[in-house]
Amino acid sequence: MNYQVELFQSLLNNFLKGEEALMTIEGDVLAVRGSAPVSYGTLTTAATTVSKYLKLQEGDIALLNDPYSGGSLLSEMTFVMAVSEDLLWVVRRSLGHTVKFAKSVEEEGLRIPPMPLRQKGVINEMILSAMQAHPACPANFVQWLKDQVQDLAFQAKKLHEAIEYTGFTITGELIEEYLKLCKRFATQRISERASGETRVDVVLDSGELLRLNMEIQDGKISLDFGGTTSAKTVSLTESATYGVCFHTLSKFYGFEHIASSGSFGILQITKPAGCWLIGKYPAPTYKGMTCGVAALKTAIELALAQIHQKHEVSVTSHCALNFDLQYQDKHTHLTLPGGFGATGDNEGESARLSGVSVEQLERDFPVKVLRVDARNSSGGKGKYNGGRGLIMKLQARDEFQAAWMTDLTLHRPRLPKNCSYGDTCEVSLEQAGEQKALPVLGQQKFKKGDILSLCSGSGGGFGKEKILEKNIEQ
Amino acid sequence: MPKSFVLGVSVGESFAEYTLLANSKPVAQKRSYLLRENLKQSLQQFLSENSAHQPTTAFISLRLPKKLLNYHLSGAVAHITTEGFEHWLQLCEKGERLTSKDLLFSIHERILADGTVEVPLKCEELDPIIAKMQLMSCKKVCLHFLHAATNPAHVQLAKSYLEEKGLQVFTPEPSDTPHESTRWKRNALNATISNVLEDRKNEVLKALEGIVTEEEIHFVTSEGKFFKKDVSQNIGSQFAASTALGLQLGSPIKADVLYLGFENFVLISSHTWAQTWESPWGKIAVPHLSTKELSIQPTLGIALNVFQRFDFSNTQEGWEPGPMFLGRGQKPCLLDLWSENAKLNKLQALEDRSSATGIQRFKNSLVAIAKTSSARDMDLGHLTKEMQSLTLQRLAMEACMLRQSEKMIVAGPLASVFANAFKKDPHTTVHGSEFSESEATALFGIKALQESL
Repeated sequence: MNYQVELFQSLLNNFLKGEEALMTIEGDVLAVRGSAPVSYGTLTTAATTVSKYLKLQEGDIALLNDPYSGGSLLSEMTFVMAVSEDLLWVVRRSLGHTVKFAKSVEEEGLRIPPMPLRQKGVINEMILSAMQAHPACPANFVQWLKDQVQDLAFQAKKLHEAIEYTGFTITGELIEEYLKLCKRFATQRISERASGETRVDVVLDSGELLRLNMEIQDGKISLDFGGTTSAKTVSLTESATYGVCFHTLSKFYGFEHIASSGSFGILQITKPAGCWLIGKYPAPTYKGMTCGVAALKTAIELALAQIHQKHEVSVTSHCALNFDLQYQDKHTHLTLPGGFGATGDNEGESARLSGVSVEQLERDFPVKVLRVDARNSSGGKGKYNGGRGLIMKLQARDEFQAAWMTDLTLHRPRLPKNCSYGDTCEVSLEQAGEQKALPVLGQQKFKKGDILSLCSGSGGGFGKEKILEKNIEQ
Repeated sequence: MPKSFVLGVSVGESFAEYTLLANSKPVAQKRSYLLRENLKQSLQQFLSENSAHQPTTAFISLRLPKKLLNYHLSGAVAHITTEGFEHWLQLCEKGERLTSKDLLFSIHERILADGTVEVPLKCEELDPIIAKMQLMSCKKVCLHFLHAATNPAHVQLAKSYLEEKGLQVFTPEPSDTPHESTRWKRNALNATISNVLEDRKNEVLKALEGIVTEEEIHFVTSEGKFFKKDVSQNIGSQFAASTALGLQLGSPIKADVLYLGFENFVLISSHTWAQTWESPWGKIAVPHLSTKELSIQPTLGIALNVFQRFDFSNTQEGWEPGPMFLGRGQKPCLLDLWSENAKLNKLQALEDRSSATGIQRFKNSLVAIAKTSSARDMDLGHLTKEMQSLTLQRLAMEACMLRQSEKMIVAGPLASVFANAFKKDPHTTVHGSEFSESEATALFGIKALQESL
């Protein structure tokens, strides 16, 4: 059959769900899937790190969450499984999000370097006991890990059966052909559009500067971060930086679905030693993996908009508002995403909320939700308005503790002339009739009667406002 | 003792299937292509052809005609929510919107999580909303109040007030899902589809007039409930046929069911229940046996992929106008690859519909695509065989990777056509009946009726 490549793609699409990657033992990346940009760099690094330190046999599983070994947030566990003699499967699963403020990665939670979790079909109980004894070990972690191992083994069995029952074989030639096709397609997509070079600066509130020089030429993209400063409080790992760069670019050009060693070939990145995009242990990574990622995406999108002036897009509010609510032994995490930037012919898409139940929130916590709506934005206006952010108003019915973090890039980067700024994230407190703005990140107790307003950012607008145009005509 | 016959009817988007059972065994079966035959007439014809087996009871499953929804044929629906949550449903929706911005209203009322009334509802506040609705000729309204499941006082009060004013009121059913938006969305969808589904129900009822008494006609939901006039159960019928297939065919031998129907290919679990449906409008509360739609589908378009090679697109061409080999379709699709297959052409509802001109046009379109492909394979016979082989392997691969049980049963009208895909799989068996959907609906209905007595 000649359509082995199509069958192979179908296998990858069916097998890889969520944040996952499939690689050869030699290091060729066959596919990466996921919605988190960092996954496109960190998952493959995790597999490389595990291969360096552990010799995995077929069926063995290694575990890590250490950002400096290919992990992302400490609450996200990365499993590397040898699904055959020459294929490694990398899977990332989340334990749930929590806002973390710390001075080092060790304070952010339990850091797990690559560990052999399952060998020869047996779970390594000694390692599980050691992790459980750690004070920062999450509740029910060991059982959760055992469930994950069982599920991974089941999925791997399915993969074997699917290959067996269809008589399909993944040969070296097939991989070579597939990677070649991926590279050709990615190069073609870039070549079809404008080439050029530009520079973008983004300053973070904490003082870090992100300087990006982008050059697009002959179907290749080079990103030079020369001039980017060292970390003050925001730090991103090298693999996460790569992932964000590749994901943002591939999404723009429309080849994120063929992320592989082939398409990775279009990207070259240069970073100065010591800059915040190459975080070193023990720098904390939570802010980097959230706000740092948002700043990097914004910078790349702005650079792309400057080079591709015919397809200009205004700025999207990439950084969600993260809000942790704690009451007695209960904890919940709210994520309010921001709106999207407008384009030359369309309004920006407004933010949507998923997984939040107002009734459940009121049942579990001493809060009354007064309002959930699209935010009335003053920013992001234009011929086409930016997508609206969200507003959630909560009234405390008893004392509770909360921690929050919003966008850390309140210093506005320079925009293309057709674009306008959207509104930034805001958290404000109404206490005894007085309203005050709260800092971009913080944690405090709230008293009965306090009213909290959580607003996520809105997208930037595009073009001149219609009202202005009318006035000019008059 | 005279035999009693049971009728099973399964109505989908483009096909309807009928089975007459005697002692749980089929005695007569038929399938209609609804684009060419009217539902009422074809069912009447089926019953008159089998007048010797007059049914005493009928069980019907109805699937949602998704395409009709895009045109909002059911008319406008207004929404009244607790103040501050006017746009809550829209914020949780994805893709298509069920609600129009101009018909979103709120009212000053509040019930707390423990059921206590904090702000009492004043019915007179509904008057301006009613006036606006009348101006916009809107006669249907959904009531979405927070914590109404804990304390339904406000929702009941508002419902009777609005009904007195001549409006049709839809209220969410209490369910096990804690997320109010999945319940509200179910209610909104029930309201939106009410007219379309009512028309379908009436067609079936009219066809059965004088044959089965109205008390013995049961529209079935995936939870095994029966309904006729209760609009809150409308959407429950969406998964009735697939749940019936899972329970009737799969459960007894702990096997997942791969249903290869004309309209879609789905994998149905025999034991795992899903509480919500990932619909085009977001999650909707509909308890049903877990169902996964395969990425390979019977009317999936044939196109070049990103590598400029022959492949399947992501668009389902559907049955209106249908595959090219039936003569009216304009775009080549998966089933066209089997246009000259004897088994396919013998299947009921397709028999004698194959058009020589249609087949030729399909071949011409393949040649046109081949000219721009990177492979430039102009041998149509070879190309068709290769694409058939890709179809079968993708089908076997996906079914194997998605199923939760060790064993699998392949059922549906196209099972015989694609049976070769599973010949290497020792845990898969192909079910003989071509009419398993209507048969399973009838058996599921009989069981549910017995349990309800």
